[in-house]
Amino acid sequence: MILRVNNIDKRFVTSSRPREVLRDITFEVAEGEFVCIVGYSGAGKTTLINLVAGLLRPDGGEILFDSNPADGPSLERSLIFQNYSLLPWLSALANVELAVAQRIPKAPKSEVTTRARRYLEMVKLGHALDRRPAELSGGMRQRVSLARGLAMEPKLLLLDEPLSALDALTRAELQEELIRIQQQERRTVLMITNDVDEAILLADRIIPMSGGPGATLGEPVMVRLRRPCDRRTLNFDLEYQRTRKAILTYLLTHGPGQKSQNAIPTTLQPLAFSLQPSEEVA
Amino acid sequence: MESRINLNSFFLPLLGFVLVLLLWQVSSKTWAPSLPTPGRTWELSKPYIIEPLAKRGEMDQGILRFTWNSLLLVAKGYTLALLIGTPLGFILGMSKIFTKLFDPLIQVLKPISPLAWLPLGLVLFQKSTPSAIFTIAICSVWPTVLNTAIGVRNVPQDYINVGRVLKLSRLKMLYKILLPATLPYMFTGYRLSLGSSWLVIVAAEMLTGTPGVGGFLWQEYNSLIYEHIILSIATIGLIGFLLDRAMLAAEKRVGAILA
Repeated sequence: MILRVNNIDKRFVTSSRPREVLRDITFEVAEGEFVCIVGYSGAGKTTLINLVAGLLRPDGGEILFDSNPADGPSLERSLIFQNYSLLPWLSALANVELAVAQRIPKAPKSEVTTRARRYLEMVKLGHALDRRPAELSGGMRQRVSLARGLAMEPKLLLLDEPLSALDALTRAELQEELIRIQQQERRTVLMITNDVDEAILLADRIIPMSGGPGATLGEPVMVRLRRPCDRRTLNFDLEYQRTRKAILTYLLTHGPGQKSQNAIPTTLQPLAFSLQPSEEVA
Repeated sequence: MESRINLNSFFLPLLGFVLVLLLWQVSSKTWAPSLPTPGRTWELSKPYIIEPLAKRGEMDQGILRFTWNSLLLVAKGYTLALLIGTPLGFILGMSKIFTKLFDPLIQVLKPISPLAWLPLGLVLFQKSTPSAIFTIAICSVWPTVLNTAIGVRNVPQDYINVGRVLKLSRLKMLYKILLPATLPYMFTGYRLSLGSSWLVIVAAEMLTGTPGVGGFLWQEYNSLIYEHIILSIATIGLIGFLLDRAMLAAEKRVGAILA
């Protein structure tokens, strides 16, 4: 196992009253695996991935990366941010170069540039190397951010809702892109999303997360779809329907503020996750 | 609609100017007899404006020559202010302890007028030019310090997180992330500081007696040529305005890069 998260808790102290965000979170990621954590908005998913990235420290439990305690950020666990977080005063190329130069600090400048360029071409931005983030669309910015994460060549790539700020069409386009890159690169990925279908399309294994406060994880669901899958016929795939139902059942019975696991009529539930392309729960 | 806006933005300021001239004329004819009229002011100022680079004597030079001398003096004090103020602002922005230590003191020092600093400068440096530079620097340093500090405190957490995820060293964090992200605030500080340093020019040159706009103003007051006081005042205002506009343009350019 490349990543082991054992019983971690996280609280935030806001105006003297501590608020429990995550409770007793345990999961693993194996090498070469693509794992998605799916949950409600505001449940603490970003907190969880920031903990794994080392930007935050847990209040209890431990995070083991490569069998060692994960203490602070590491170049082996690169994080791709929800809001891209590109440096606006640098060109797309320079943004990626900054990361590459950290990864291969002794390499000559030309090698850094070559590598940065290669990853930007991989995300199909070879034509926009010199453009600054303000001159790029949202989708293009996230491509730069993705190239920056990939160019670090980390042992574990962390994706924090990378597509949630994009419009539906760009989102679908980038999902296909992620599938293509993943087939080519075979990275170990931990991704956070609030989109059940996105998780099914991309992940080998999906872990649903309950609504906060004190969010916990449900049983992992294996995705056994034939890859690559065609999103046009996906709705009729029995395996897809089974996976989707399993995750939705968990999410709908573990919504925000719900203490018990007793199902409340699903029609009364707020649907914080998106239900595209079809609104039906098979 | 478009042309009407242009008309307004040209004619309304002109109308304001004419109204003030009228008020000035009426005043000097009624309640303020020692105030020279606009016409007479123009008459006596003409040689300084028509030949702006003339040098007829140490204290009798064209207005642009005086301005140039003043700008040189201000530049020295202003540069000193930036060299001290920028790092000070960074330290203040990065360290809470430092803020607690010095922020109250800065708030107290900030409103002190140039005329109050001058004697202290003389005590410290004995000579008039260094104390003038000291006064310009100490009066204009505060906007740079405070704006830089605010800028550093306002660097988006996202950028800092990028730096942390990339494991940037402290030095790289400073010049790859903090410095560029703070630049717009720094420039606002630089612009305000330049304004303050220009404000000090009359006080500084009164003391040094150097041939500049401020020195000229003071000399002409002593020689009872009030028309030239008005010429100097108008020049100081105009130059201050131009400096501010130039800095504002620079500030906007920097801001555009970081948008």
